Parts: sequence; C-alpha cells; structure tokens
Amino acid sequence: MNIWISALIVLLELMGIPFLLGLLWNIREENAGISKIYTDGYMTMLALFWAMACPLVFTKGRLTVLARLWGIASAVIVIVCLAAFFFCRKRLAEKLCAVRKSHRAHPAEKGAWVGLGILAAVLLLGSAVFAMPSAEDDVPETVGTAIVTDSMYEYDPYTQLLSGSQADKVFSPLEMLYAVTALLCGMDSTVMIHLLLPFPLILLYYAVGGELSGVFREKREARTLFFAFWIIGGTISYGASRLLSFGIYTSPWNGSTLVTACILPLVMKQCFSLHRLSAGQKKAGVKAAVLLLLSVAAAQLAVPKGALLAILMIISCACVTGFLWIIGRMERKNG
Amino acid sequence: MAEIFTEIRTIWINYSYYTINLVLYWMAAAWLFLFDRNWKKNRLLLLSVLIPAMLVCFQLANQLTGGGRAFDKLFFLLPTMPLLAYTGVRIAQSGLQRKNTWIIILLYAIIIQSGLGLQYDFSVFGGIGDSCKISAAVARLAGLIDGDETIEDPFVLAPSDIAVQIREYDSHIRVAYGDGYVYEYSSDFQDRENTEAFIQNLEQYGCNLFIIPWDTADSDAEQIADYEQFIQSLGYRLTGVSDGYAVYALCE
Repeated sequence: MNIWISALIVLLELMGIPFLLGLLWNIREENAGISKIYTDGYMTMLALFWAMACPLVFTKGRLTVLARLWGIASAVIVIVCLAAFFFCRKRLAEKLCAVRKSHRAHPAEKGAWVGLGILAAVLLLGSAVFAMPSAEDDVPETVGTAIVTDSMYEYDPYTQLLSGSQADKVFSPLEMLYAVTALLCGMDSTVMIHLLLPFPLILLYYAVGGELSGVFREKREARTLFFAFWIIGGTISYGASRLLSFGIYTSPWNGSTLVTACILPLVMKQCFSLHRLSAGQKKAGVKAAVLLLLSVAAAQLAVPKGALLAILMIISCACVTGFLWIIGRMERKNG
Repeated sequence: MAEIFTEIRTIWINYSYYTINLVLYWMAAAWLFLFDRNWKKNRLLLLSVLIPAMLVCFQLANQLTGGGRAFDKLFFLLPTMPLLAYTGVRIAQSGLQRKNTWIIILLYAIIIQSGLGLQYDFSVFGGIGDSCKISAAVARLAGLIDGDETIEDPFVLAPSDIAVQIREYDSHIRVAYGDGYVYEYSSDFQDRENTEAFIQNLEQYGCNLFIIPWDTADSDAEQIADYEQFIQSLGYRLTGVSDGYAVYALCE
C-alpha cells in the first residue's frame, strides 16, 4: 500500500473515529467544544477496543482475528455515526456552527492564540520528527513481536520466546490497538508508532488541557494562559527520559504516559464536573457517569491496574468534594 | 518505625530524581496555600495534598505488611501538570501587567525545566534522518545480519542499547536482552579468557550471532588477525564490521 494512503488510514482510525464518536456523544450538548468532543470520543474508542480485545487476549486468540474484528467494528462505528448525523443533520449543522463560533478568538486574544498555535504545532512536529523515544519504552518491540508471531503477549518482546513476561498485559492490551492499526494500514509498525502516533495522541493531550482549562469558566484570558502552561509543561519529557510518565513529547504512545498525562487528569476533571449537575439534570448525570466509566476502562487499557488508579482518583475527588460540602454546611450554620 | 519512614522517603526521592523534581509540586501547592484567598475551596489544591497523603498511607501499609516493592504506579495519580499549570495562571494573574505575561510564561518554563537539574541529553533530538528513529549505525549492523543469507532465525547477543534498537528496527531479528541475559565483553584483544566466558554465555543463551566493539586503533594488524583466528577457532566467523562494531555468526 502507498505510504501516504497508509498514513491517512492511521490518522482516520486514530483521529477520525474518536472525533465521530465524540460528535455523536455531544450532538445535543450546548457547550461542548472541540476538546470535549475529542476527549469523549477518544475515551469511548479506547473503552470499546478494551472490551473487544480483552476476551481475545485472555483466550490467546490470534492478532489477525482481532484486526479483522476491529476493522469491522471501525466500519460499523463510521456507518452508525454517519447515519446518525444524516438523521440529525440540522442539529449537526447547528452544532458545528456553535463549535466554530465558540472557538473564534476575541480580537484582543488573537495574537496570543496565534503564538500558542505556533508553539503547539512546533512541539508536536518536533516530537514527531526529532524527538528520540525513551530507551525504557518497549511498545515498538511488543507490537513488532505480536505482528511477526500473530499472537498477543505470548512471546517475550525481545527474545521472541514463549514466556509469561507480559502476563500482566492481558487486561491492558493498548499495544494491540497499535498492532491492529499497523496491520489494517499495512505500514511498518515502528515507523507508524514513532512518526504518526504523536499526532493523534499529543492532540489528545492538548484536548485534555483544553478541557481542564474549563476550571476558569468564562475567564478567557486565564483559559488561554492555562493552555499555554499545559503545553509547555509537557516539555518536561525532553529532560526526564528515565520514567515514562512525563514522556508526552517523547513517547506519547506508551500506556504510562497516556494515563498520567491524559486519562487521569481527565478523570479528575470529569469527577469535579459531576457535582455541578443539579438534581433536575438526570440525563446529563447519567451521561457523565457513563463517560467516567469509559475513562476507567480506557485507563485499564493503557496500563495494568489502570482501573484501580482511576477509581482511586474518583475516590480522592469524592473526598475533596465531600470535604468542601461539609465546610460549606458549617459556614452556613455559623452564618 | 524510623526505618519504615526512611524507606518511604527513599521511594519519594527516587521518584523525584527520575522524573520532575517534586519540590516544584510542593512549591506550587505552597504558593496556592499562601496567596490564594479562597484556598479552602480550591479543589485542585486539596486534591494535590490529599493524593500524596493517600500515597504515604499506601506505602506505609505496604512497608508494615512487608510487601517489599511499593506499587510505583500510584505516583501517576499526582496531579503534577494540572497543579503546575493552574499555579502558573494564578502567578501570572496576580496583579502583573499584561505585557509581562509572556515573560512569566518563559520564566515559568525555565523554572520547570531547571527542576530537572537541566540534565539534557541532546541525543533526544536525533530522530530526523530515519523514519524508524533508529541510529544509522544500528541500521547498518541490522543490514549486515539481514544480508547474511546463511543465518536462519537470527538470535543476537549485543550491547543493550544496540540490541533494543535492532529489535525495533527489524522484528525478525531476535535479541538476547532482558531478565536473565547479560552482556559482559572486554574489548581488549589480549583478554582471551573474557572472550571464552562471553562465548560460553552466548551458547548458554542459544544465540547464533553476536556483536562486539571493534576498536582497532591501538592494535596492530597481526594482533587483530590473531584474535579473529581465535574467535574462528571457537566456531564463529566474521560477518562484517561497521561503525566500530563487528558482527560474528555461528559457523554452520
């Protein structure tokens, strides 16, 4: 397959599908911006893949079988989303118009947004083209071994001997998402991981930053500043290459990086957003809870015991909210 | 009890050393505590204090039950980036003029980076030139292995940095790397005992290829020829030399 067509398929798979899913989630949402659409879609896609891959990995199924199933699932997702958009085309047009309007920069902020856009693009391209991955990262080896042996985590990623060295990966098969994508697009897995994956995954990091900046609500300048600090903060990875958790610009495809930089901060944001819902917003509450569950599944896909980490984050956020509720009650009592 | 707390302190220092210096994390939390008027209602600040407390509780329980190695992934819970970015906004907002904002962003970026001790290895910017982001030297060594058609199912013992990259570059070449595999080779051509021990290890692992440093600058031609013959007598033939390394393969 032509390398450009392969690259296009990878980007459609890892950027287009999350975008469609996110749009489907938020088509009736008044205030959902592009970052919410992308993050919601991404968590949904990762959770769907987790649900599909785990039984197959557990029963030692073949990678090619998973690739076929995921190919069919991707096609179904695209068809369902497009059909849904066709039936709600008026609503979709309004939604896209609202998204465009909400992202129109205030004239006074135009310069800052241009500067930020250039900085974000430079860091993204720098990551894709120049940054060498961390030596601790074994994702390309695991993906390569899976493709060569047509298996999932049965063989050691280096010696390719049957081993249980990756037994803990059975319930967190993130690498298999990359392996099936490489199989579907017919591209060399290492090239795909090192050159193409930074685009969808660093964009996810930016989108999470955009979502977290919502803490400043209507203060647009503060939101812009938060986003600036968020994208600059990621450059920590250029110095700290030993542990992967901060490697968003060097190894964004690694599960540890995804969980630390994207999924757990998003879980935190989702938890803190839940308390803003009033008693009358039952539907919105159910939707937020489902999205939170999807994020827990996405965390589990990324790293072993990821669901436990996400649940601990939810418990911590609940404790903080409970503490604030008690303080509020005490303040009200004391007048 | 003191020993347990020393152990927990070591875990935190190690984490700080290998990633971002956690001093920055505490500085950001302290800044919010001191200068944010509404700190009692600041969810992020409360969370950034609660999570480390929770981590210490887990680590304490782990130490008390003799659990040995702590669950390092718990550190992923620390909201480091959200806290640093949030505090950055608060600092920039604290009564400073608009034109100074970019200066504050720049200074903040420098502070964040210096929290790592500015320990930069500029090889992290060496990715260009190869679509696999593998060093050209390793690609040539992998080419030597691929070019030898007499080798079926290549299984290589190589220095760890080369082994990892060879595996990334070509998944058909297996490498003896990871738990249970050791690469101990002395590049001194006179040290025959070391070479014999190296070959013994190699045979124990079942490798049919090995890569050794090939620095001939301090040796004369006779010494080199003698060493080559010695390795050949052990059952290995020279496949090729590239970028200061020699590739040897098991004779059929």
